[in-house]
Amino acid sequence: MDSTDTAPRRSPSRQARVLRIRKAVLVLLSIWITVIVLLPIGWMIMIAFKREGQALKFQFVPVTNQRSIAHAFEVGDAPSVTLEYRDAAAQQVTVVGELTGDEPVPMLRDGALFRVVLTGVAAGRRTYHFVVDNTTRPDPRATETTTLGESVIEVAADRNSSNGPLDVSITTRLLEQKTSLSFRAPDATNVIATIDGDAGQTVSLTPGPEGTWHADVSGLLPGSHNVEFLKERTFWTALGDIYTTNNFSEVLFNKDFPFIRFFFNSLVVATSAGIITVILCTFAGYAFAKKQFPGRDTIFYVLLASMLVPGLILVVPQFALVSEFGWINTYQGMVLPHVANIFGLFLMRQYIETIPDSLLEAARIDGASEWQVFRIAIVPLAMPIIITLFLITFVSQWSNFLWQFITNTPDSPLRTLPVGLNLFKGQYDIKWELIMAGACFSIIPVAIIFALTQRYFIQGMTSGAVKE
Amino acid sequence: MASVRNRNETLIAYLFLAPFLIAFVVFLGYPILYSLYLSFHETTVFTDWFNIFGDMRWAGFGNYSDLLFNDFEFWWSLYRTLIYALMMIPAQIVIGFFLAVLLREKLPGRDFFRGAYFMPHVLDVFVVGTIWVLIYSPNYGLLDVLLTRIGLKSAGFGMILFLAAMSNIPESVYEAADIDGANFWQKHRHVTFPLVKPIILFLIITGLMGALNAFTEIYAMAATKYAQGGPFIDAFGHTVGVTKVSGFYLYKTFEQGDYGRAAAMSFLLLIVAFTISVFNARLLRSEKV
Amino acid sequence: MRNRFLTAVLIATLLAAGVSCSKRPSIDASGVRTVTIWETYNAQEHEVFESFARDYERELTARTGEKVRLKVERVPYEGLLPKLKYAAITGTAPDVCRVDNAWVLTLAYGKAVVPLDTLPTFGTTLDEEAAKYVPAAIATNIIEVPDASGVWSRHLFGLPDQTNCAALFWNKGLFAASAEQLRREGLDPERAPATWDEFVRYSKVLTIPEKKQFGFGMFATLWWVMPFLNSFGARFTRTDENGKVACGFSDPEAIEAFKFIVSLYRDHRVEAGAWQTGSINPEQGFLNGKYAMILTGPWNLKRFEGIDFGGVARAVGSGRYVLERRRVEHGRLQVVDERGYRARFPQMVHVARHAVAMGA
Repeated sequence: MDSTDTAPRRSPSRQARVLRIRKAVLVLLSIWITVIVLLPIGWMIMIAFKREGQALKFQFVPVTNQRSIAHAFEVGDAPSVTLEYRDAAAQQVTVVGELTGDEPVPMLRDGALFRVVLTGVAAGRRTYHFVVDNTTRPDPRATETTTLGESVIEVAADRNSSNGPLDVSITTRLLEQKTSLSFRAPDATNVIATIDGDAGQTVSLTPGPEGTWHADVSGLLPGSHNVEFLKERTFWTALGDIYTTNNFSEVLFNKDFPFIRFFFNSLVVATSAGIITVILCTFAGYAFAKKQFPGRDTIFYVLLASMLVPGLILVVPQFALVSEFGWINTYQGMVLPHVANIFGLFLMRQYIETIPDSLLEAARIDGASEWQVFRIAIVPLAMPIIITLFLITFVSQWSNFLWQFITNTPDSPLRTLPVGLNLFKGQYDIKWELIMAGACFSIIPVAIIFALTQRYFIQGMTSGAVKE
Repeated sequence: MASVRNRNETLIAYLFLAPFLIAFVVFLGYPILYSLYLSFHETTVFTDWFNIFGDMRWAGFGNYSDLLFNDFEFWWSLYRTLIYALMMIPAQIVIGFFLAVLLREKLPGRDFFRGAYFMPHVLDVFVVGTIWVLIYSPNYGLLDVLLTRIGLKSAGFGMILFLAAMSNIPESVYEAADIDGANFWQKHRHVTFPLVKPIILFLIITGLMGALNAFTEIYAMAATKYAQGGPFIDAFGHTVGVTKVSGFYLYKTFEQGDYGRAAAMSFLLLIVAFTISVFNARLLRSEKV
Repeated sequence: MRNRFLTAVLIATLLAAGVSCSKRPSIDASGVRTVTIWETYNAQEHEVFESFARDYERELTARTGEKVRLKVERVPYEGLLPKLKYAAITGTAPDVCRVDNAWVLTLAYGKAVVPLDTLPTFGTTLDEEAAKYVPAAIATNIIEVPDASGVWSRHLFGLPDQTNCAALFWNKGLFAASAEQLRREGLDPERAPATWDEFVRYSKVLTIPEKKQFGFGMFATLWWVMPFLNSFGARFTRTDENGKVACGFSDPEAIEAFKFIVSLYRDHRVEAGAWQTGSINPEQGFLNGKYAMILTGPWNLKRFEGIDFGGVARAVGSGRYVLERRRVEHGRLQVVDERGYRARFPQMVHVARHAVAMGA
């Protein structure tokens, strides 16, 4: 690790520098490969933090400054009615009713806010409703609704009227020659209004109660004007537009599916499959490696050959068998059909063969029984391969979707994590952010076990698989 | 006396073997024999789902002869598998070897890199497949997924094996080569390469087996609506999918409910795989001598 | 040929009488009959469906005094067909299952579903019943099957619960951003193209290579080719001179349609190549303002929240594809049509109830 320090001993000059540069280049190369290899995992984690509907968007850095559309207003005209409707999913909103003389009037869209200013409305009680993408809706801000579902507004003769507080309000008081601007933005750190575009004036709004920002502008000539609001937010506030930490809790404490239970089931299935496989394979591997018995080679080659049968074809008979045993919706139904792992047996035999016979003989001479020989001489020495096989089995059963899906009925309490995660995939509608959050949980046990056993794993894999 | 001991020894051996053999016979042996039985039967789209095993007809060697003599697609799938193996295996060996050489250097954080490169091999969680589908947007996908996903995975596997073999090469051999003035390539060509040859053979055989039998990966892809086995081309008067490797063709046949034919295909694939293994075992043995 | 019209269908599966019956008890000690329903709806649809189920249980008890429990179980869509197959082998199949209508044929041929019109409770004729539905939606559920003696006859195997169709979605924001150029070409930036010729002209203006923006992006699978085939007047199948059903893709209309699709990518260069591996798929391209127009369906309405898009409303109203050269009447567009659903629900369960009675 610290060989960089020992290098100067030989020659403190150019050669050392070349070596050091070479090493740096190799480290950079290794890091680059790591990034490529781990890219999917990093990507998965990022998606897990995305808000609903954001998963597939290419936007990763939030927008801190948001500009509104230019809202037109008149200085010095008759009273008006302002209506607002907020709906992120709507495409088109119109207002219809007595208020508009039964003519549909389209509302202007500013992000999720739809807004319209109606002029020339006679004073009095007027009814109206919204048409949101062909669906009739009352105004949620209206305080009064008729029995027919029409919203009611009191139109005043001498000022601007609205139902409830407005998100964007522009009112002119001619007597005082002032125009008041107010803009609702609870998450903003600063709001700036630009009147009449770049050539006009710019004012800073001051925060007021309930997240509404205000400013009074004077000196506007009578006639048409427009105002644009620039909302500034902190980076962290804006981050909330795209990212959230809720996906994790939504998966774990899902109201429709018991994910903690799924997780537990997967853990039981993968662990027990790992343990049983290891036990069976170690026994059998020992017999094949160290015992002489009739038919030894024949049996071994038959086993090896059967490994070449495509696993797909065995699913139907295996399933028929499991259901015959009444093992649908049971742990044993999920685990036992896969415990006779021939590849595992092969690994075990190869490894155990490398344990010297003299060791076993020595143990026997000391009076150890067959079982003791196995326990004292074989198991501790075969530990690397035992752990390797456990890890392989654990991982493959942890992610075995198809089998666990078909051996559990849809109401089974023993459904596992892969089955559960697939429930977020509809025919058309896939909840990527929830799947990825679930995936983050699902790699935790595998990553932990791998980190703990990495050393044995490499050792076991190498001496087991390629002893040729 | 000796025979008593032998009998004892045999008994003990069978006792150790029994649990595995029982599990094997019940959950693998029986299904394999059953599939063999199925392969001589005909199931069609009209076979009753509620009574699949009762509603099929005896077909003799019909499934086999049909596959061998009348089914262009079967041969095509074998050919594509071979092409796929020819692309995959050298890539796996070269990349694995390269990674092993790289991580043989005494670099800071070497253990971390080893672990990281091996990660894709371990993290074969179903979700990782999903991620690839998303990142890679495989509209025709199979080939790409096979190449990238399995490619990455098996390169890590190859790396570990190479690393292990190289760890058996004493440092002094390289030092001697250095003194002789051998450059990087000469050093590896004459010192490393001969020692890792068995591993290359091992990777070739496991690679071929994997190509014939890549069920998990193919299932993960084929189950999505995107995988069609395309892009499609014209070959010898047939329209065939370029990515229809044998495993995929088997899956499609199986999915269509043609269990008998799928079973027959499995056993034909078994024969191919078996031939390769035997041939390879010969090769390895002659190599050792 | 796989003629997938993308209607989702409710199918009553029969627990084949006499051969194997459900291992779950369908009638418990207190006389409550249980009907198991598998569905693959999303969370919101599931809630609506559950509420229908509860309403039905109450209604039935009030009307006839019969007690029934509808057990609605959610199943992942992926792997549903194999799962149904395995469940059938072991007799654990549900009484009712919602599947894609493309699967109805497979299920009917495999005798996994009961012919609804043969049930005594059907109470009407096949054609009378079919007349109540959108023709294209019900047609895929009426299938000719052979009986034991090899005689073929038409039967009804499922009931459509939703219909939908593809429509052209157009991104109003991108249209507005190119408004000037569109006007210069004599095109109105505030509406979607109405003919294929117009479509090409719009697409050419909206394809801006510097911004990696394309006028159009599509999948190249059969399903997404259908809007083109329909509007070019091509038929998927036709009866040939020998009275056999043949694929219609070699007809001049179909060839014209296919040539047009290819020209979008190759000659006009307005299609993004979204069907290629490693490319941005149409939905994602639309979502990110890379493709100005895509073909998609109502299931994406929610996902496209926050984008100013259009074209869908018109498709809903007229019941046709936005793009038509020869007008082809084709299914209505419904997201979740609650009323239609509610109306069909009792009938569907009624039929299923009977299926259970036969199995048990």
